[in-house]
Amino acid sequence: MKISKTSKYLKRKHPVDKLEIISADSPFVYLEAYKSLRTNLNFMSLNNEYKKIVVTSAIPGEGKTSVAINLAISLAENASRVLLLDCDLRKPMIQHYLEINRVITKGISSVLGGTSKLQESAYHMKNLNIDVMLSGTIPPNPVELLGSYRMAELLEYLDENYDYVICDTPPAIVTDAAVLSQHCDGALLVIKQKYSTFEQVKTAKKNLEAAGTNIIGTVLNQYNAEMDTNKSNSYYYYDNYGYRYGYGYGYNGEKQTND
Amino acid sequence: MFEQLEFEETTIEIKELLLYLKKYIIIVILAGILAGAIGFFATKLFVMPIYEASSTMIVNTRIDQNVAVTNDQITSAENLVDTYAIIIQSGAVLNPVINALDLNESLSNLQNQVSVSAVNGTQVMRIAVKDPDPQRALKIVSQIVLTAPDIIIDIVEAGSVKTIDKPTVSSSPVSPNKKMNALLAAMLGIVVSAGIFVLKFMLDNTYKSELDIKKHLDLPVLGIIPSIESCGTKQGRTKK
Repeated sequence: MKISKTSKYLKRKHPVDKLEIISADSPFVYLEAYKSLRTNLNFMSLNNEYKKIVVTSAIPGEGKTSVAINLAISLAENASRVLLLDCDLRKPMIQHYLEINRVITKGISSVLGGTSKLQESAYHMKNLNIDVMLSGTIPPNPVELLGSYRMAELLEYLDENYDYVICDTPPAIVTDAAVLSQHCDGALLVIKQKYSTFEQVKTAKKNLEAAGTNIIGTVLNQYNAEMDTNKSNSYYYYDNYGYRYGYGYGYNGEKQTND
Repeated sequence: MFEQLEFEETTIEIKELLLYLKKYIIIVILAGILAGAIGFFATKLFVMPIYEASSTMIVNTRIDQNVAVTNDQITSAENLVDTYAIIIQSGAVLNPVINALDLNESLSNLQNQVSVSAVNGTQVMRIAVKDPDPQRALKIVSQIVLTAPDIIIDIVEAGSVKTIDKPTVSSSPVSPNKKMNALLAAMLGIVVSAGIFVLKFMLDNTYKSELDIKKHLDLPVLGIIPSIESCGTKQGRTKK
């Protein structure tokens, strides 16, 4: 039963066209949500410093890549040096989402395999102000690569040169994220609203924690207030008050920083 | 402490359920109206209308003139209606009726059509016959009223049996009750559709709110990212 359900999700096509990359044109609440995520992440960093962050989810299609990209951009807006790492060595999507149309074979796999140098494998996205390292050629043994000593070394090196390293990973139905997170500071679990079941996410949490992952927290993605029957219990910005506030102050301030 | 927490949780769930149902209230009401309409028209089209013909009779027990009528005797007279009912519904009365009218019907079928009841607990009994054909119902009642007195007097040695109301037949069918059926169908429609939504709510085990994550995962929620569609419907983009 469980296996068949998983295979159904694997077959599902990636929701390619739904990705929103934050920019000055994005809706205010959307921008504000990422700012809030960034702020909360900083609060969580008071005790442990979360610099190398794994972004994963229980099942495919919950918006890991979207959250990873936008979190990276949001962090970079705060004048941090941010590297976005496509550690999904099975089905890398960042190149597609960032609309990098060149054929790129240099990336994590080639750096780990020793066929390319680090300096020539990362790219600076001018408009987004972040650095990106893609997956490179898809290797046959992604788990071994991500768990390797070289990967740990690579992350250690990147840690020294960046304020944040955001790793996009495959969903937690495979062990990639769990293995990778051993070299990282913590993991963010992306949960899409009305999508993955309680059991699926619980299993993912259990598996990650069994591998020693420090789960920093969750991100409720693709949230629609109309689906939320518990709205009244949340301290939430989603009401009219928030919108009004947004028009008066937040948006203008945001515009200035982006110019 | 723990009990109180649990109590809170269930009240939240009921509140959630009600809020959830509120969203679908229009669908539930429409389902009720639709089911009611179906019930009404189905009754009208497919259920054969039944007419009822009836007549009232009274049975006087033989009473000794010298003895005052006691309460006890009246009571027994009332109870006698039940006795007469059985007699009227028996073959003793109905078989001659079938023969006289040349009815193409078995005794047990006719027994089901005929009903006898005491009017308001008095000695007066009401004989009713239900039939799809009003004229036939009237004929059967008339024949019973004609046949029954002699047989009753003969069997129970009663004083006399008199007809009060002449047999009449209702102008409109007594059943089916279209309004009642429509109302029942509408209620059924509402209950079933609401039931489906309740079931859907109960079986939905996906995360819908921050509280769900706190409750089921015990992990902090660091961010709630709205879907772009939900941003667009309310406000639109801030700048094009």
